[in-house]
Amino acid sequence: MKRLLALLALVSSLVFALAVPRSDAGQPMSGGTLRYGMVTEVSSLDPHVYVGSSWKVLNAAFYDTLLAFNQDARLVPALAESWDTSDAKTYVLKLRKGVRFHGGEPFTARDVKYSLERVMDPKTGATLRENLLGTKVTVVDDFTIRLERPTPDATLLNVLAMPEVAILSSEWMKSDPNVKVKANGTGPFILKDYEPGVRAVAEKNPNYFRKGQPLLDRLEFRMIKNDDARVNALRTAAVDMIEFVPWKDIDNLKRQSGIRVEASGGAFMNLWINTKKKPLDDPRVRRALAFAVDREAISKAAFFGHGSPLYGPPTSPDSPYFNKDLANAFSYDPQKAKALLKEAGVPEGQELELLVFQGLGIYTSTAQIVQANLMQVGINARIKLVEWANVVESKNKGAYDFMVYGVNVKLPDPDVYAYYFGADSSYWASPIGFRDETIETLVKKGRALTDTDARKKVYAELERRVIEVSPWVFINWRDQAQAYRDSVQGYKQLGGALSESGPGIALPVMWIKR
Amino acid sequence: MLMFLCRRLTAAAIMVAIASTLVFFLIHLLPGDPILLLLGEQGASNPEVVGRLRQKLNLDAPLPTQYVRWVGRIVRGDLGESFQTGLPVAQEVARRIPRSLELIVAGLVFAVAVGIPLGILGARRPNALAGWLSSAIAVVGFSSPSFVTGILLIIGFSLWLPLLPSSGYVPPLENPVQHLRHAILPSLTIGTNFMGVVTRMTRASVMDVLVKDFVRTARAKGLSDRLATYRHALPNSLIPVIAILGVRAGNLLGGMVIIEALFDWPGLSSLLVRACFDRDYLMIQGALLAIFVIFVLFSLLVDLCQGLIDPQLRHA
Repeated sequence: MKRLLALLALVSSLVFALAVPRSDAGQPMSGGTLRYGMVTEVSSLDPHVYVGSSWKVLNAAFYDTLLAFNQDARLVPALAESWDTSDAKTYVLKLRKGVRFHGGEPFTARDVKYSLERVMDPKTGATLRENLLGTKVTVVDDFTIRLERPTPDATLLNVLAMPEVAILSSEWMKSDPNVKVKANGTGPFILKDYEPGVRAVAEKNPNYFRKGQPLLDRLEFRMIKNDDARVNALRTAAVDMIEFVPWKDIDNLKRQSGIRVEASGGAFMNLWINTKKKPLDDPRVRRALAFAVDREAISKAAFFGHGSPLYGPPTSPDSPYFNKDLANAFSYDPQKAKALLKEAGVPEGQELELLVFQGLGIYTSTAQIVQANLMQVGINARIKLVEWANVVESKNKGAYDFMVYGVNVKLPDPDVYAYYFGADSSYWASPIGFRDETIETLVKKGRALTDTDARKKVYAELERRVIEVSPWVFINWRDQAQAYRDSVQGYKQLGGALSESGPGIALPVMWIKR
Repeated sequence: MLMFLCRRLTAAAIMVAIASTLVFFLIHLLPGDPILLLLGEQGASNPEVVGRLRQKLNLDAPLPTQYVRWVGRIVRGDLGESFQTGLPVAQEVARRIPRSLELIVAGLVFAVAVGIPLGILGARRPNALAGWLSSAIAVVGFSSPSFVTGILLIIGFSLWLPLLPSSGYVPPLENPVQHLRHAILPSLTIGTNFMGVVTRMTRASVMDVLVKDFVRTARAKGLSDRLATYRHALPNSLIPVIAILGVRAGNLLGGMVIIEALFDWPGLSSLLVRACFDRDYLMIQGALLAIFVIFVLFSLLVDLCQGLIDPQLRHA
């Protein structure tokens, strides 16, 4: 009987395996609707103000950028056909002709000038304002534009390929439309209906400049903030694809037939330390924290195994700037942590307050493990749970000891270090007045260089300094997962800085198998 | 009756005014700055950017001035614009009210249709199996939290038996049938809780009334047990049931957060919660004002219903 059962099990598992072929793309078909479940309740479509990963998907559907990344993470032409620079200071871009906005206005260099200047205008509150600031934009002729940076800047082309630097119609903007609820770009889809925070419906742009794209006729975005509701919507085929699969559900969904899950590391978790507060102003204390934290336990417990410990600087292993020598700068070593704390003269039972966002399990579980880890080395961390508005305010006032913070890699360029640790960056450093001269110098040096090998040396040095100063404790890369029904084709998950952009990049080439 | 209405309406208006004033000042006491949230984690700490936006949204004036401006606009029927979307608050609130009311009313209908018969059954045969069962259903109904009932319904009717959608909202004009299908599970979740309350209240109240003198008199004059219950005891025992239903239904307008999140139903509660997290002051104020007004209208309706049933209350 037992043998029979075993045989049955074997046969059924074989049948099961045969019934679920993995990838069988076939010929792309046009037509069909993609129903997409988003995690953020996007309440503004302003193409220059980032409000979450879901916003990036919407932005890429309606707007284009001058350059773009393709599904192989390569920089490719978009609204600009070609570009040229002799000194990384002055860039001349030739624009594509015959492109029209959704409203019918022809696309010209004036739209580029308007859009870039809008990003730099403080009234806009644009996300990449500081990356473009100081750029002089000149319209050479209708289809040629010249950009002049005050100093050589190798990062500019990458910045121009980010969805946050989308091109809008200057003609349309003259009528002062509410860009938070309307969209008029050159993108592959045209916005038809939008209820802020609830849903957005878009239809194919028949005049899209990439011939044969998009393949889909219609997009229906539903904003389903509740994790279980989002997962159930996919399970019951109420949507075809969801983003931000909750970590607890990744394995469950992988086991379900007819559903595919793709994950990649795109964001990393940290302890952000207020380097002005005693005793955290001593780098030895900060390094002690880095040795005290059990990254393996956090990745297992808080991320259900879908995180990989980060013992070095936050450069993805597939990046050309990945630095093997530093990858194991830290380890889980409470003894070493204790020794460092003793050396720095931190008394046993030192109290610290750990600020934690209450809304996500990955934050609260991480905090609990950190608390237990620190207890072992004689630090008494009190967890303070707060809502997001409070996190943002405390961060911008520098009113915290240390906090758990997840960081999405903003740019596919090691210049992100300027954004993380540069003294002028309002992201983390300027509110607490952090300034490290070595980091400042190296950031400037790296930005001015165009040769990759030369840049590698500079950024390796910069990373060494970052580890030495340890302003943040890097904990782990967290997997960002998307799940979709196997009728959905043409999607490719991207990692690192493009992890949030992946769905947006895929939209024009995605199709539904019928 | 007219006097009664006038008095009630005046009291209601004063209540709404006090409540919304309190709300105005209380939400400004909350830590968290709407401007910073609006600008996202990147743009938020450039003082120049923050200052300009604060000015643009009229948040730079002292609080009392802001209050006077807000009241002035309300009097003219203008609730202002959402910080987040720039859309008129009135428009956003107005589109959500029917969605919330729809679920509440459907839930109420279910609760009354099932709960009152069950309650009467329980009252008339308290010691029989049927009576015992009715109490059991009531207790389970009102004591299971809505997220439990909701999840059980989703597991049962959309994951096991794929009969109904697990969540979502389809505008009624786009597809009326789909719209109703999506409304069933959330309405049932609300209805189950209501039903428990209705059953329990009806049972207790009918039992109370059944031993009253006037019922005994009715029986004595030869009415059947059934007639005495339905014609004499039931109307009298419904008064507390209606009262409690009115209050509960009013509460639900802003208190369906869990149900709306679970079923991804874009009602008034989720709008309010999002506005709170975003510190979208005008939206919070507008949504709460709408909730206050509807709540007061509900209790007015309850009073009227009770007045219809019990003439004594009209003159009280």
